[in-house]
Amino acid sequence: MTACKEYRNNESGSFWMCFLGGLVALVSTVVILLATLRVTGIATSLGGIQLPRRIGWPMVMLLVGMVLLIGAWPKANSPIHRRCQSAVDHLATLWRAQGLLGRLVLCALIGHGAISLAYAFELPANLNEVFLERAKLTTTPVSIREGDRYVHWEFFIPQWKKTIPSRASLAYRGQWEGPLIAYELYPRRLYLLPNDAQRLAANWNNHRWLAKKTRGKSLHDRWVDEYWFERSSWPTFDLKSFIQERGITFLLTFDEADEKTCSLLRIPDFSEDKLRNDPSAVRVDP
Amino acid sequence: MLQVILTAVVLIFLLLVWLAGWAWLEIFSRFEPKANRLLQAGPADAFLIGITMLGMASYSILWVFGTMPPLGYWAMLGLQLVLAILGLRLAIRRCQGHLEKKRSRGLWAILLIWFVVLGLFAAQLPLLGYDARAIYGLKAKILADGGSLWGPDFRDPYRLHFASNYPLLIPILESFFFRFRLLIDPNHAWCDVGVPLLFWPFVIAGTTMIVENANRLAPGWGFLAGLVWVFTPMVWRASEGAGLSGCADLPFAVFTAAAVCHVAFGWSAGNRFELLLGGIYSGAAMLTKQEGIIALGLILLTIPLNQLMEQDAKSIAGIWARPKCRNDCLLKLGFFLLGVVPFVALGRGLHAGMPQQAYMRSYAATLSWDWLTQVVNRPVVVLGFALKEFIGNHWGLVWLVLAIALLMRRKRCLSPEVRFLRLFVAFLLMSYSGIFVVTPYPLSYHLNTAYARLVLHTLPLATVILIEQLAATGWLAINRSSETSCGTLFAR
Repeated sequence: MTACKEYRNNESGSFWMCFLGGLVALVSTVVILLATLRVTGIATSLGGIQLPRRIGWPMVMLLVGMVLLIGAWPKANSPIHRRCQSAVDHLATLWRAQGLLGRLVLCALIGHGAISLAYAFELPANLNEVFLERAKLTTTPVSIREGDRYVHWEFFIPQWKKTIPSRASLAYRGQWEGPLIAYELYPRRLYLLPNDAQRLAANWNNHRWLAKKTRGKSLHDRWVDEYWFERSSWPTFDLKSFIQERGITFLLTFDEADEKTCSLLRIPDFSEDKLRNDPSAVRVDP
Repeated sequence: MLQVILTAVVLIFLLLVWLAGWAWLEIFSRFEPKANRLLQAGPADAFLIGITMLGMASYSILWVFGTMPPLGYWAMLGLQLVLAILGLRLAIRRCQGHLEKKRSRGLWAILLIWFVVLGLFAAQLPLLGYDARAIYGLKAKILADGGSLWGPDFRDPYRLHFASNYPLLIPILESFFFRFRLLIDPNHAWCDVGVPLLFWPFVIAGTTMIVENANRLAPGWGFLAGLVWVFTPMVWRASEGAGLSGCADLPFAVFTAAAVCHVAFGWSAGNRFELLLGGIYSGAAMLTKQEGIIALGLILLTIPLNQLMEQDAKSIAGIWARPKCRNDCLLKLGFFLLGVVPFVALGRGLHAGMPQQAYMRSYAATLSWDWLTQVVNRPVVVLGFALKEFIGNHWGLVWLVLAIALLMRRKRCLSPEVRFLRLFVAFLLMSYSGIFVVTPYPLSYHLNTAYARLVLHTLPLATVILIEQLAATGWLAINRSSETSCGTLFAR
């Protein structure tokens, strides 16, 4: 502090930079410590205020604070400190040597570095979130997000794996979660019955996440599905032989919006009428 | 514990592929006179060519038998081992020479730490992306399970198999992972935790390739280019379409960038080895994603266009009038095509007869007047979405820096290589935008699920272009006499 004071007499700007850097570093450190308390589960809130969970930007701010502090500190005793100061000096010189566009590039590059580093520091938290999310999906059948009910197909996978023999073929009825279910249930083979294939073909626009993301605008693209559906030719099949040729022994129905319609039926359990279903695009309100 | 063993096995497998790549480089460099041999090939090339040739050999087995039997996997591993032993000496020699050149070892240490962190991250991740599981992951499981390409898994339009006729290079690579798991941990044979580790070396290879090519265009600037690329969140994150999500887009981007760089340099210098490598990587891109055919077409378009912009029309006419020049051009083109043609043949041979799933649509059908009149308002929507995408957080500010940098005045003329890269990136972005305009799928759905992934294809080259531009403007040329301190950094 004494050194900083002496330096302030020569150049007040440096003192303030030193002060600012120190302050930024201090605040960032506090935020990081609080986040550590939250992540480790020691405390989730202090005085009724939720503790922060993310450390990406606080870490970047800590770096910025340290750079300002080191750069403005009057004495450089160690070689590393001298190198850091030299780097900061170069940066300052570069700034002064640039025109408008050059300074914009410099700012944008520093911004790029800051955003990238903030994401990089979040990496352990991201991994943790992936694990937590997967655990949540596989242990609870339903979740409510923004007031909407979401059924987790991940929850049913272990049950389906237990029920369906590992080399069995099954028919899938549902939306675009189907290919993911086919991936998870492998080596069980999933097929679409002709009517269900037509239904899927008419529903490329129908995604709840997309309708939410675009605030319903994506549903305006329904005409595209209608256009191509009208112009597609669909061969007719004898359902019984279609099922027999593929050795289909189960019908798996999944609906992300309603767990009551999710089911797994054995072939003897369902009649042909149940399999037949008029192909029509399913409407989803935004 | 089993997961740790599996990770170690995968790392050894990748190391073998990399070492085998050096042997392949040695073989292909025979096309060039001894003095120029291997001058332009580095560690990134060793990995990329290793993966490409492993994929090609596996593709050949699939072409003949329609399936990858367990013996096929053992044969491939044996081949890698033999080639790795041959490539080891060359790798040591080349890497020693490579390391000596590096002045900033401390900075490389930062990169090394980052790569280790990413490796640890990838080793614990499952496949997270939709395409990663529905398109590539399912194919990998079928291949590892001995499923046939002639059977219903790939040929029944009613099998729930998303885009069953997509290229198989990445599924082949992933199928090795599932085979290892079948050996080590058969109780969890189809568990995919750790598969993203296969994409991790592409991050490293991409970085090395960008550093090398940026250094060739702007000596001393390679490290900055590598930093800009490798820390960009889209390159290493595991969200949908990003580098470690398990989608084929990162490998495709790296293959395409490597192909374009080698063709650009090889064409200017008349280096047959580089042109051959460019052709091989272009072929690898085709076996990685369907967009590879677009990339190949654009390379073939860019070559004459770049030549045309280099010389006036009279000189072009002169080239064709002079048999020596004409033969020289044809020879160069021949070496490039020599690399590509086997891949085109394999791709056509295997995928041409595969039917699309019943719910998929044909792009060829979109080229009708009736449809085109329906989508006249789409270019504006696509452009608006693109502008929003380019300032998305997962890109950092890389596109903004590029846009500003391109406005700066250069102190030297554009070299033919840089012009080649710029033309290619511009054409690729335009082609992709064109695809979105005519797409038979709902535009909103297609843009939101595919645009970022496709833009990733241009990022490696865009990074090289950005850094070369900054170097060419003399951006870092500062007046050392006006020393300043941090205190006066923002004084003006």
